[in-house]
Amino acid sequence: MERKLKILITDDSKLLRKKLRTELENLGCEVMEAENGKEAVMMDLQEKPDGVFLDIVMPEVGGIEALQVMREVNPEMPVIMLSSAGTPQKLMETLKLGALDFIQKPYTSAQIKKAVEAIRKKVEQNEQ
Amino acid sequence: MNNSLYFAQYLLNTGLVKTEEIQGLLAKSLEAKPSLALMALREGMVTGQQLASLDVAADFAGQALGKNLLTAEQIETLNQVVPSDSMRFAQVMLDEGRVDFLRLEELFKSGDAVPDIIRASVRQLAGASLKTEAEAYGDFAEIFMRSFIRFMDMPAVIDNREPILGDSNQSHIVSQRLIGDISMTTGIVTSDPMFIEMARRYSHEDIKEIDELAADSLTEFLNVVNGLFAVDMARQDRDVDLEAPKIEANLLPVGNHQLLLRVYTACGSFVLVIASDEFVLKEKA
Repeated sequence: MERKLKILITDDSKLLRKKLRTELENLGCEVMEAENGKEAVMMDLQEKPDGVFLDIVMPEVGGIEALQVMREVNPEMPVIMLSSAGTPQKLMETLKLGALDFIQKPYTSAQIKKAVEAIRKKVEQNEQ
Repeated sequence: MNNSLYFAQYLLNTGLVKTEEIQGLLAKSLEAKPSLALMALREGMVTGQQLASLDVAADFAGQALGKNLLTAEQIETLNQVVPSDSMRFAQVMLDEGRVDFLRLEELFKSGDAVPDIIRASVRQLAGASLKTEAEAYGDFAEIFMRSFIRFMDMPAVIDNREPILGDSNQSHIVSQRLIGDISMTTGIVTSDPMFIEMARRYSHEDIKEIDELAADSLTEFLNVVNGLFAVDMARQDRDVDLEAPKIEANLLPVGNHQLLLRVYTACGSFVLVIASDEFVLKEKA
């Protein structure tokens, strides 16, 4: 039986966190939430999630800065960027920083399912 | 091109529908069920002349088959068609006796022939004073309207007269700054009921008041629209970044090179604001 993935959602929007939590729980994940990049970095250190969904545009500490810190602490952490501004520049920038994938908002359930499968694959690779 | 989203906009722009009546007609169009005859006309399967020779209130499919106007396969196809906003609005125009099938055919053709109907509306409202900004503002407004109709699942049109801000019903402003190769600020100024309606429709949540969820819903909608605009600009090799969206109560936006667009929907109206700089928010008089 597959082990339950622990996923951290980081978005300043309560609505998005609520919707994404439902999607992830339906996929059998355990979900934690952070409202900004600073909180996400703290939770990353304390809770050690298996993967992170990270918004880019957030007040105070944004997603790009949070991604940089998370990658320094744990270079193998699978991070999925989730942003409304899915420009090629943003995609390249985040992939260079080590993000596993980039999903443009509004997302579809199929995109989230695919992202979770990618996180699981990465986690399994890391564990080998 | 079939202007399936903007038929009502075309009728407003050409003066066939007046501003005072647009919201009522849009509301009726939400409930309208386009007839098979109208859908056949819109899909180009029959002409207005052919429909004029039939008693379309009776068994249209039977008559169309009997007169070899349509095949059984075409009838089947029509039965599968999901009515577009233009079909629903056209049905209202028919139901109200304002057009017949011959006139409707002309209007569909002339409406479809108008390129960039939203951009044209913006250019007209921008006038000479905002000539430099009109292109980017038009690009944004086109994406905004398309997204609004899609995500809110209701028809909407831009009024062809510039609105005045300061209406006592305008209680909130949601805005977001875009910076980079194109710098501008976009915002939605709205009343409480319209705010709640938009939040409810975008989130699909049971929202009854302007709370955190409602605020998140409308800011997220604007964020998504601006994101789509940024992606569109990237295709033109222009890099645009978004700042976090903001929400304010009982303040009015004042920006440089500011354009105000009144957007009518089936459930009310709001003002879309586009300016080149960050809004300066002033208290309502």
